[in-house]
Amino acid sequence: MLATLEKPPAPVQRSPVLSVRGLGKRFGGVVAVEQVDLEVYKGEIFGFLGPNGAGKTTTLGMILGLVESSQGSVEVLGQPVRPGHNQALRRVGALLGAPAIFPHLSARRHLELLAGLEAGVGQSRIQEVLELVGIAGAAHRPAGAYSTGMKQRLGIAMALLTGPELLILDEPSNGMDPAGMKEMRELMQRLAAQGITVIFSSHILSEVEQVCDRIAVIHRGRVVAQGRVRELLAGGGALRVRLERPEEAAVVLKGLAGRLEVAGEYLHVSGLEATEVVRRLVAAGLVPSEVRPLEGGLEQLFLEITQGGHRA
Amino acid sequence: MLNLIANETRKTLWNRSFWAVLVGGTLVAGLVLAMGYGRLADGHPFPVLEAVLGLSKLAGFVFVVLIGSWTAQEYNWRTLPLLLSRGVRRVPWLLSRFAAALGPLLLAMAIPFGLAGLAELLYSPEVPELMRRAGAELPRLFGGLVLGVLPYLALSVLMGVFTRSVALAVGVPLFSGLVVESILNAFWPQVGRYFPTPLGDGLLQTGDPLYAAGLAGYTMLFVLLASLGLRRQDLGG
Repeated sequence: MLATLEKPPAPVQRSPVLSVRGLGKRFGGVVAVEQVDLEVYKGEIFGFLGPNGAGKTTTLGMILGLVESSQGSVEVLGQPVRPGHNQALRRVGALLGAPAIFPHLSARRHLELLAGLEAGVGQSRIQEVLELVGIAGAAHRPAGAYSTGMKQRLGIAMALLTGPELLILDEPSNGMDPAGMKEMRELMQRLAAQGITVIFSSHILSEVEQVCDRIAVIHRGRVVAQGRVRELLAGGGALRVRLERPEEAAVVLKGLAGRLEVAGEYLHVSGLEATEVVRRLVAAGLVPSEVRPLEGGLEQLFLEITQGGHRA
Repeated sequence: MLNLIANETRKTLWNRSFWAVLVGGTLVAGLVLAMGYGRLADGHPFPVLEAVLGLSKLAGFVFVVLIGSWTAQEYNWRTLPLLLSRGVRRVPWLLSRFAAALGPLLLAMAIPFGLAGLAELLYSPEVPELMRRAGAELPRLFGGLVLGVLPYLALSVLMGVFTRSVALAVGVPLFSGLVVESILNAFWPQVGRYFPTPLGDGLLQTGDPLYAAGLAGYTMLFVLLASLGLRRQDLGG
């Protein structure tokens, strides 16, 4: 498990599009989400990862005002969001889980329904998003007869319809073929280039690695890692130190290292030479059994974080 | 709010099952009334007004079934969270759903009246113009019928919201109206008479506004409870 002891460097001179502070949700005695802090900035593609049941959907549900939080706050585009107060979401497009569809209505009818909620969204915009997601040819067929991939495309079309400033996509390429997944990645990158912020959750880590600027990993309801993808992957020139009591080692190195993260039986250290790390730890009676550069893909990092650890 | 009502109305009008039920119901009601007026033309008795009232009430209950099932299906299809995640507020959505149901409900319940009027034009002057003779009473009777169905419409929405189950959203109002209230009326009439069906019957028979107030009270209570339930509901899963 990765415990961020030092906050990741936040982009400066930008106000966050999404700000989540100390967010928590309990279902009876069960803690689903605890002390989640997130900040997402304009034009970013932000990956939100976690194993099944980690609290991703509950967190996204609270961000979208669908689930009442037990603690903490959500601000979208500078306005608070909770179930009774969701006006800010008019500037948000979302695809949460399996696409929401009326099986008897066509894709065009779905978009016409949503267009009815917003002034200024006409047939030309509907046609535009249908073409953008590649279902214009099937726009008159009942959506219940669509394949999973087509339903996803319709869900994305609905999310995009009103030109949102923030797009929240939960597993958007679910059910799509490789070409469709590539299209989806390119679409997200185009949208981000236009200044649209995208929060993106996926189990396909290679996809996340390719498109996301920053990621947060949630595990057992807590955000256990957050930062720029490259930094997390490279460890920022970090070391991976294996030892019996990594929390104690983190305390020993606190203030000396640039960044310290506990991941199970490992301690990730940046900003210190290996010899210095070993010297300090040994002096404190903590002998590492392994010290090596931190490297590997997002999948390896994800597995380390979510399988190797304990509750941070 | 108006665009929400318009949107909810579109959902009904774009639903083929609504039109199928409407057309099917019109055919059945037309057949029943044609047979009845045929009997009258042949000199046999036929209770036209009672048949029209019965068919209209039946149409109302069929529509209650439709609205209850659609409300529950909005949860199963996740189309309610879709709307709410776009900044649509919960209570206005619920009120819009209820308000938007009224137009199609009135249409469905008015069809037997319209058919009877048409039949009297066709069969006249062979049959006495029973519907026309009811005259000024017809709007009151129609209003009373609609008011009598509204508590069940609200109950079906309440059940749809609370249980998210099509079976319960449909079954509870029907079971309550057809079974529970009948049993209470039969065995415990001093309590049973305060339930919606006896109140509706009382309104039709006497036109006493107290009955109307009781029916409106039930309707508002069920809508209020549904609103309170929806306000705190978790819809993220």
